[in-house]
Formats: sequence, C-alpha cells, structure tokens
Amino acid sequence: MSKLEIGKQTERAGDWLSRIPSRLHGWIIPLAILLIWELASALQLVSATMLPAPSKIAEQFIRLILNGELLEHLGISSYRAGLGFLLGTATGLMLGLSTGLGKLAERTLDPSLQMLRMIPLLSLIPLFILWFGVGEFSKILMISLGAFFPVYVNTFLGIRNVDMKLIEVSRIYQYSRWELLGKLIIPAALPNILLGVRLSLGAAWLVLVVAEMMGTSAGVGYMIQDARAYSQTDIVFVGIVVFAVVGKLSDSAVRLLEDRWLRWRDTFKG
Amino acid sequence: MQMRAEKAIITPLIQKKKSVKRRRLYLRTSNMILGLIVPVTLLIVWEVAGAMGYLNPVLLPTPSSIWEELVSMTETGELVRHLGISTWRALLGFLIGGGLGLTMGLWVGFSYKTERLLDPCFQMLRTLPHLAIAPLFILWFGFGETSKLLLIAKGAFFPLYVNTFLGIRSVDSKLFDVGQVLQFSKWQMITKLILPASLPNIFLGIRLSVSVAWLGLVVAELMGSSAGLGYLINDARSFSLTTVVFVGIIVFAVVGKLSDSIIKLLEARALRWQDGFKGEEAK
Repeated sequence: MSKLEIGKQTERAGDWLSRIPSRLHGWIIPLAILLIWELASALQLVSATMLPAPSKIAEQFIRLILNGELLEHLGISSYRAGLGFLLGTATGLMLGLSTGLGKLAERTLDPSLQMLRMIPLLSLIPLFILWFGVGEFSKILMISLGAFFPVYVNTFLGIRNVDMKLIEVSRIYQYSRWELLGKLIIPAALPNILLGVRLSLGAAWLVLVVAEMMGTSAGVGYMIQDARAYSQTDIVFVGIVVFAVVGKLSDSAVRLLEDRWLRWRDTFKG
Repeated sequence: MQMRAEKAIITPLIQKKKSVKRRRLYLRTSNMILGLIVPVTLLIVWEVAGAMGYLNPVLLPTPSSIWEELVSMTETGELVRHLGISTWRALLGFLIGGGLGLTMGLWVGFSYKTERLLDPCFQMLRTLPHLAIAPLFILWFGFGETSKLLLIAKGAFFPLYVNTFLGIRSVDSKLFDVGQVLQFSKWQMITKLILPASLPNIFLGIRLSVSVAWLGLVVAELMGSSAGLGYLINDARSFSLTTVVFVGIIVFAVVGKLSDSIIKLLEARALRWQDGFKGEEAK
C-alpha cells in the first residue's frame, strides 16, 4: 500500500517537475530570481543604487579583476586571515594537546578557558581597538582568537575519545611515550582535530569580515565598507560574493585534506 | 548465623559506597579549587599591579573599579535600559528569523517537491558570510531598527531551518509504519509522530539560532545605533572609558550564557520522555 501511495505521490509531484532533469531542479528558483531581477532593473522598476542588475555586478566584477584592485584587496585579506588562523590554530593545538594529555593541566587550565569561551568574540573588538589601535596587530590577534577555540575544544575532545582498548594494546607493545603520542593518540584524534580546523577556518573568516569593516585601509572588508559609503552597491555585491566564494573554497580545501589524511578510516560513509 | 554472614557482606559494601561518595566529593572540591587557581591568581595580580600603578588605568582598569562601575551603572538604571533595548531587538529578530526558519524547515521537510526547488537556494545563501551582509542592509534600510532586526533574523533563520529539516528527515521510518498500522490521519502523523520525533533537532537549532542572533546583535549595534549594549561599548570606547567597555562585554557574556541555559532547561523538560544515553549519572 505504501509503495502504491509513494508512486502516486511522485506522479503527482512530478507532473511538471519530471519534465526537467532532476539535476537542474535546484537551479530553477535562483535562475528565475536572477531573470526577474535583471528584467526589473532593465525596466527601471528598482533603483540602480539600491539593487544594481546582475549584469552590472558581473561587469563590475570583471572590471575589478582586470585592474587588479580586487586581487590586491583579496591578497591582503587572505594574508591577515592566514596569519591569524595559523597563530590561533597552533596555540589551540598546543593547549588542546596539553590539557588533553595531562590531568593537571586539564584541571587548572580548562575551566578558565571555558569561562573565556563564553565571551562573544566580536564584542571584544572595541577593547582590542583600544589596546592595540586599528592596526594590523589587533586584527590578526582577533582572528587568531576566533580560530583558537574551535581547535582547542576539538583537540581536547579528540584525545579524550581515543579508545581505551587501543591504549592497552600499545602498553602490551611497550610503546614509549613518544610512540604512544605519534602513533596512536594523534592519528586517533585527527578526525576531531581536522573538524576543529574547519570550524576555526570559518570563524577566522567571519572575524576577518567584521574586523575589516571596523576600520582598515585595505582588504575586501574595506572595499565593501568604502563602496557602501559612496553608495556603489555593485561593488558591495562583488565583495560579498567574493567573501562567500573564498570561504567556501577554503572549506573545500580542508575537506580534501580530511579525505586524504583520513583515508585509513573505516567508517560508514553513507 | 546466616544473618550475620549477610551483614558481614553488606556492611563493607555500604561502607565502600560511602567512601566512594566521599571520594567523589573530595575529587569535585579539589577540581573546583584547581580550576579556580588560574583565574583567581590572575585577578589578584591584576588588582595588585593596578593598585601599585604598574598598569595604565585607561588601558586596563583594575577588577575592583570595573565592579564599581557595574554596580553604579546598575543603580542608575542605565545598564538595565540598554540591556532592555538589546534584549528586545535580539528577541524580536530571533522570533522573526527563527519562526521563518521553523516554517520553512517544516515545509521543505514535509514536501519532496519544495525540497528539490527551495533547499539548493537556501544552501547557496547559507554560504554567504552572515555578517558581510551588514553593509548591504545598511545601504538598503539605513541605520535604523529595520536593518538591525533583519540582520539578526537572517542569522537566526539558518540554524533553525537546517536542523528542523534534518530532524524531520531523520524520523525513523519504522515509526511511520506503526503510524500507518494505527491508521493515523495526516494531521495526527504530524502532531503525534513527526514533530515530537524531530524535537531534539529543533531544540538544537533553537540554541544555535539564539547564539547567532546574539552575535548578530553585537555586530549590528557596534556598526551604529543610539542605544543598546553594543552602543554602550562603542560609545565608551570612543571616550576611552575602558571600565564601561569591560562591563558591557561581561554583561554580553553573562546574558548569552543565561539565555543558553534557559533553553537547555526548556529542552530538558520538553524531552523528558526521551530515553537516550545521558552520560554517567553524577552522584
């Protein structure tokens, strides 16, 4: 009976959808919106300063690439994000390893770090500006702080989730401390650590957006903020799209690394 | 004779239980003391260094002066007023965004057709970094209340949408068969089976949404407003009133934590029927 009903349902749902290949279904609405948007701007139903036509945005995008402006801003932003990310993940990894491996370190440090984690990161920006000015230092510090916590928490969790049975096996093999760490604990905690890295990459990128809007003289965030001040809405759109694409690309890169490094894993992959 | 033997076995058992309890208590207090060592020493060093004039009070005011500022701001009602405005914004934005996220999640979750059409759109929009949209909203709606509320609502929408959708799709299909055997109507199927079964995911979505709404509020208020906690912080920063900045940050942290705890409590009550692993019982 249920099979029959499902068959009926797909028939009903598919009356007009089934004529389109299913791979294209996701594109129907975005394309329709783009078309209406383009038409509405061509007919001047919406003001160009509020909502420039998609073709205008694409034009502006190409122009910004050709004169190198976009690449310059993107380079500075990536440099900031990269440096802050490296700093934050490195400290997060070190502290996560020390609290994960040592009981004493856990008891003394972890509660304080958990307390600090409660503070909404972005509310610290004014304090950082007060302390370190609007220069490069305060931005990179902010970004590394954003990248720190995800890696720290997930490294700690990953180490604590190592199977006790494997540790017993390593005792039978008489592993030294270093062997235990390098051959068992770190590989076993790697899935969690990489998850932390992915989360912290996202956090670093988000903090970068906000930090650059708060005051700089270069970077994609500055480009957006500057364009907003002059009501160049098409550049604002270009900046937002660039932020989205680069964020997505960096996430995919870490996923690729995850796939390569965790190939030995034998789990359910759907 | 037998009685005595039983007693001989039972008494040590009871004693053992007691000693385990005592040991747990001891462990817990020692953990707490160890955990407090770092923050307390830090606070003392900070206070002493500040009192001896090693620290510039403009950059790093002493904990006691921050505390005094907090007390005086609470007494004058200034803090409560700003907090009220911020809470109102966050709540309204969360209700709009979360409500839309929930309805959309339900709709997309129930209907295969809407999933094929709408879900890819939402996933595309989700990749946009949440706060990069802020300048666009300011351009469209100005610095007023609308742009702030919309920014918060946009942030609150996605976690709730994604998790509602996931929750509905992960309802056990065996339960559907049971529902069919019991001849549930479509409405009964939704209210008696699908909604309760996806409630854990929905609650997770609500918690994530609230925290994102709170974060969006911080940024929206820092970007420009004339009232609210973010304004308080930003205003104090431009006058170098560091104590007020600290007070604002602490209040943000505490309120964020409190709202999360309240939702956790609600979750525990609403999901009391759930029979999952809840971690080892702490005694």
